[in-house]
Amino acid sequence: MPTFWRLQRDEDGADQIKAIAAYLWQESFDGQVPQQQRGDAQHGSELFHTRGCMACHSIDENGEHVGGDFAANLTKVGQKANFDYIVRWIYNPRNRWAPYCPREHRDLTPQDYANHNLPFVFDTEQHSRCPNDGAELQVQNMTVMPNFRLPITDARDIATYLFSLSQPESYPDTSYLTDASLHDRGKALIKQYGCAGCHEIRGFEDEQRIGKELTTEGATPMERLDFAMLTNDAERGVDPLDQNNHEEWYTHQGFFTHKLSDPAIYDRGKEKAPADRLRMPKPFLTDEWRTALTTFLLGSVGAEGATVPQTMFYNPSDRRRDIQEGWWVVKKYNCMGCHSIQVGQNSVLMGLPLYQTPDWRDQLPPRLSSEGARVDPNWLLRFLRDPSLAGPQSASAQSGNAQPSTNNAAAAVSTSAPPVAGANTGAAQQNSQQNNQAAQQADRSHGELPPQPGANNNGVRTYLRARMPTFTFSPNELQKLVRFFMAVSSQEDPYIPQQLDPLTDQERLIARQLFTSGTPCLKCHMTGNAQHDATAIAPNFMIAGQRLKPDWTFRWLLDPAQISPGTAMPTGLFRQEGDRWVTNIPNVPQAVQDYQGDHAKLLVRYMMLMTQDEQQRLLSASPAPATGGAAPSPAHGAQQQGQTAHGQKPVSRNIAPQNRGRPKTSARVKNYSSRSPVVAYAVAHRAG
Amino acid sequence: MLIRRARFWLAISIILSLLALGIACKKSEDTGETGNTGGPTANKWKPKGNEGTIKGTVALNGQAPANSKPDLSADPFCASHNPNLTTEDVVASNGHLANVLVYVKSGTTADGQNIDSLGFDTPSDAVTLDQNGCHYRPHVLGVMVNQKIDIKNSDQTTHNIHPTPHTNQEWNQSQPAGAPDIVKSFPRPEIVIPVKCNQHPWMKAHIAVMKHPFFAVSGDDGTYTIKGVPPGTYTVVAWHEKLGEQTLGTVKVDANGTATADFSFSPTGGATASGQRSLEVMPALDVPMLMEQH
Repeated sequence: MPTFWRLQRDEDGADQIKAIAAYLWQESFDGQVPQQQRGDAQHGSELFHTRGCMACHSIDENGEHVGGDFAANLTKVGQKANFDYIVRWIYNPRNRWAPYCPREHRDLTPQDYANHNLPFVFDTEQHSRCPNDGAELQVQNMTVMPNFRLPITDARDIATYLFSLSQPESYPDTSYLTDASLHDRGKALIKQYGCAGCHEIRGFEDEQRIGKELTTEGATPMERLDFAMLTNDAERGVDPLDQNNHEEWYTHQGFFTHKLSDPAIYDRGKEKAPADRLRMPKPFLTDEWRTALTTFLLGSVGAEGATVPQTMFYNPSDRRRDIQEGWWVVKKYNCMGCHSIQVGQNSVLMGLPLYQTPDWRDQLPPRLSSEGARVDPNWLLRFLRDPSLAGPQSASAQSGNAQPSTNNAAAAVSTSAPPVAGANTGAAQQNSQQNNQAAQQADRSHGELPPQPGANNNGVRTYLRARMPTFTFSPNELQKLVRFFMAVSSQEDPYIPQQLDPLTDQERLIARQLFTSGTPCLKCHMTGNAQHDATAIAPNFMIAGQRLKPDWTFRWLLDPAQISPGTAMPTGLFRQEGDRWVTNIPNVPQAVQDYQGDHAKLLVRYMMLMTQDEQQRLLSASPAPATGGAAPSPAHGAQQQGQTAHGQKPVSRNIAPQNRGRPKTSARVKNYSSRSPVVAYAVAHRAG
Repeated sequence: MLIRRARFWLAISIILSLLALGIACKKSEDTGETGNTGGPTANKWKPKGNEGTIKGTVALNGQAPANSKPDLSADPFCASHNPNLTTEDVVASNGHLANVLVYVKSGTTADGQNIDSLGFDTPSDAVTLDQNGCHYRPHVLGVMVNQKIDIKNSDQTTHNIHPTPHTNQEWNQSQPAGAPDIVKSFPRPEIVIPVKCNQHPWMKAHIAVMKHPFFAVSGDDGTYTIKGVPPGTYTVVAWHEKLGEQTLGTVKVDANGTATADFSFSPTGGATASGQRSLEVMPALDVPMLMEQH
């Protein structure tokens, strides 16, 4: 936010800043922010340090900023923000207070929905249209902060922790905020200074930017750059900003540099009414940044203004373009806060104090440098849309229907939260809310927020403390991201999934032995069985078939550290014998010895064609766990139910030669892209 | 003009000597484990027969923090074979602290040589790291640069050995029951390399890769002995995986003499390496596999 140094007192003595504040205050959200109880600050601190918040946000620890600098330092957020608001924000930062109807130019109210006998429910999926006129609603806040799918108790704990970091400030009298006489003056000032160019402000939804378009600014003819009263000085080499500069600055460069140094400079020597003065605020620029911006403007000449041939522009049309475009999305959402995307690039999390021990290093989010080679693009698209992998029924939980996944969410709330009074009642309230839409309406004002889609679930790696949040990417961004990962890994385009031959009975028997002997896969990989998964540290095979590419999986089995240095997956499982890879265990069973094919390739097929029955069989065949083992934590149980139910789908998908799963995906994407392009545009361009 | 010519010859001679160095280095690499660890310019150290000993006891001042009891249910072998297994974070008895690496960090020999400038032969015998009872044995070990480590699996279950070094190459290899020993070595000095088994998260070892042979690990009685130390004055460091590091500034070893260097650790760690948020700081953050049995 630059300095609007011209905001001061009007001629009649009214404070302009107060007028703007009063307008914003009076035009904010109608009604009450649901009140929230304080939570457990210590648990909130754990969550803040482990869920991934610090990939973007920093806090001060021992006098140092710890964490990422992509988003705000939160040490003093308690001095500024409202606790109830922050809880709601952490719970789901994307969720708008009320849906905005672009056709009616206003936020809809519960009354609008009640008039049509509809519940006051809005989301990007099935409830994205205006009940009055069917217009595509804007239901998302303009922010890049994703939804971590936290239970409300966790959101309260995190907010409580953040608010414990600073002492409340006392502020001078703020009674002017409710002074209705300031409203219109504030509105005029907001319009004059173009606040809505960057901010979303009620009453200014359709406001354009007030500044000049700069796309081809470098090609503007000299005579159209308005040096005003300084034209002579610029030509004669008299510099109002630097007495020692005697060089002519009547150039594009001179104009830009002086404008950036003092945005009001070309008002000098003029008598103007306040409303007519130059409005550009003063940005904080170092000399280096100013030079960089000037250079950028000088180079912004468009195709016509270019002094070099068109062919010398970098306009790749092949996969390099996918990389270039995807890179913007990666940067916009700070993917590199958590992930290593390029070889040699470390994520923010990797550098945090917490992750310096070997145990915590295992808790780092996966490296994505070969993600395009690893995963099926269709799966990746689905995952990026909904990283909880909880499926569409979870997203529609907002409609108020009781769903299995909702119970799952409620159970998770009560267990993952610290054992404080109120956690269980919170879950119970949430449950009852599912069954009673009227109650849901009423509850909103009493601390209850809409249910969380995909609540408290980490789709692939449920064992990680850090959570892949839901970004609600626009269809355009989703496509760019998927194409980016595929292009970075030099994947063929278009993508044609590799078909796997079904296993013969004989092969299945051998594969089963490979799977369970030597280094038994299920010792580390999740199965969906809660007790087993309490110690699991690797993904479930039930999603391997739809998620992984067989070629990549084969290479992974041979030398995982080559692909992901530091991985928990060991090498040395196979050794080369002639031109095939055979298992590297000491006493190879006879049946396996007799198998003439490649052991690693057989294992890949077995894993990718894994069925629920087969996995169940493997689990029951393995020796019973020791007595006195940890009681399965209900949180895991609840998560795994969802996992299992979800996992059953891909089986038929992979075995059926027509690949029934694919069309379903594209259908869903199509539905998604029917969202208003305005919304997608707004999210894409304003949030950054 | 003259100066310029001189510079030219100087440059040429530097290049030539670098080349020669390169060849020399290559040679010493080829010779493998008997190579010289101090670099080509290092004086090769030879025992003179008047070497002394540094010995002492490592004490723990106070009650040792309890080691946790991990969930063994995932591995029936470990559960049946070593049912009372605990982690080995702090192993102490009667105020004596085991598993402390004590080593000469720096110093000067009596004949005026900096210990850092000396080169040492790599011992040809291997050090054994055994996986026995679902623990690494020993828990802390020192080896010299390029010295072989013979990794055995005495258990009837699969382990994987996963060192996580900073300056050496990371690797992670599976070793099923009955599999042949894995022989590895580390080419760069590093104090210390944590080793884990991903399948049994309580299994930890720490390997110190040393430039010189002047190190020892305290036993269950807290004592350690570093033999064959050339007479001189040294800085001796005691390192513990959880309780941090302690330094004794001047330990004087006389010819054929025995110097005593005792250390004392506090159970709360005290001077742990700064900047490391260890698991103790946030006890509730233990990763799931470290959870205690209920």
